[in-house]
Amino acid sequence: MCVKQITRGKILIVSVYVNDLIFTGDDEQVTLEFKKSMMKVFDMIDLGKMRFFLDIKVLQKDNGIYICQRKCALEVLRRFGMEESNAVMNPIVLSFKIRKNGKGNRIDKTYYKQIVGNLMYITATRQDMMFVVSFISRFMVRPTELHLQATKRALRYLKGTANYGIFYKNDGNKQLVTFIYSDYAGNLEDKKSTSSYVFMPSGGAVSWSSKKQLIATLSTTKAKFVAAAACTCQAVWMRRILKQLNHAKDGCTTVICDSSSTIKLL
Amino acid sequence: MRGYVFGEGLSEEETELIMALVTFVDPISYEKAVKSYKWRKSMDVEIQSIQKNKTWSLTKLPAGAKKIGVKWIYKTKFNEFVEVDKFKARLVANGYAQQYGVDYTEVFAPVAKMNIVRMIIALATQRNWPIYQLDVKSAFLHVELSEDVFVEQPKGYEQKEGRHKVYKLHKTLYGLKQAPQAWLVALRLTLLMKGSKSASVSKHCVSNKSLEVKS
Repeated sequence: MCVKQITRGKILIVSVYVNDLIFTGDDEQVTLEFKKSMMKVFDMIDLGKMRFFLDIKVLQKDNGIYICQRKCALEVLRRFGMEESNAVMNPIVLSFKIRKNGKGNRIDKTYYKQIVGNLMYITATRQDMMFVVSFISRFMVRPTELHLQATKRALRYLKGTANYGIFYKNDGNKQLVTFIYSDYAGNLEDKKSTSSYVFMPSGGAVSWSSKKQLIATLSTTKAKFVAAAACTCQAVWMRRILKQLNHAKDGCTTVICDSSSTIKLL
Repeated sequence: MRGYVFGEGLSEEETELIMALVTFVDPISYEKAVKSYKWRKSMDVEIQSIQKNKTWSLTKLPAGAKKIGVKWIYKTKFNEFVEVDKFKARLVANGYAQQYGVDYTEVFAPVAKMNIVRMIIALATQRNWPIYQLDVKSAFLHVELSEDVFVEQPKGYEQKEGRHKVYKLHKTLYGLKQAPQAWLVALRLTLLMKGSKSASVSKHCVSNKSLEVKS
């Protein structure tokens, strides 16, 4: 739940996650008043400036805000016995493909699902792991040792990059810029493509996705067109939310795409 | 591993030592936890918190009413430096014993989407706003419960007189199906009251489908 209040022309934004509240606003006095009045009603702990929210570390500095999930990443590595593993530089080998029903020894489904579930939460600040997590999650029905190897590689990548996070600069680009990309017929079973997009206002990624497309496309142009459509849907949603938070963008939202034939189609 | 950690017949100090070595293994039952001082203390804190909030009162179970079991949950909380922060014991009701339409109806309780949280952070950065954080202590124990719910007495804290009595809940207990929803309704009411007359409150109930925005 997210709530906006306007008191004496000053805006206050409150976001609630069950019993955790974060709030921000353009007037120091209004935010302090809000805090005091809330503490009167409920038994609350004043955590001061936001530092740690839903296992995400938040560093508020003069030139911007940095968020990362180092603690969460280390816990995941420890849980699956990978804390001493050798780090690798990429989460997945380039053009690595596996089948759902490949040969090889079956492994425990529950164990596999636990790794996927744990990695899923890591993607809250790690867009670089989004593709590999959604990729390995496709094999949860019949995981084999080969699938587990792909998962372990993602964990080894996480080991080397546990400190990675997102840094939002306060002098970054104010425009809402989005990038789209898609592969072509990346899935071995049904030859569907995977589309992905990322939204980058103020230099840091805010919203991202990597999803297998629902329809089979016949060319890279069409595959990227599908990705562009998904991205536009998200853009419309983002602009609506921003409007409700009194942060309406006057300019256009730029969608950046690397295929000139797709751009001509639009 | 677990079998060794919870080896039976160990003295309290030995158990403490082993627990300190593998702190991330939390006890899963009351019988295991009661052997250790830190968990006994954390349970006392939880019971105190329940009593302070006037969560329940002891009554006789009315004829035809059903009582719901309660359970202790133990969790070691870590801070941001992956050091042990505190040992937390939480008394929860077995919500699975509740029946839809009889014991509860509405359960919808939206939470902030990660996208929105990140967007608020990005927004605050652009405008140089500081972001503050508040945490509600035992949030669900604040909320008035509208349905009649009876729970059994928790293990280790049975009343000497009236062993067969049950607790009637006045506030929601963790684990009840309606607890998150009731808490959110209460919080929303408070937030609505806080805003002056010109306040505009919008709630984003956002589902996974990217285009559904209800406001």
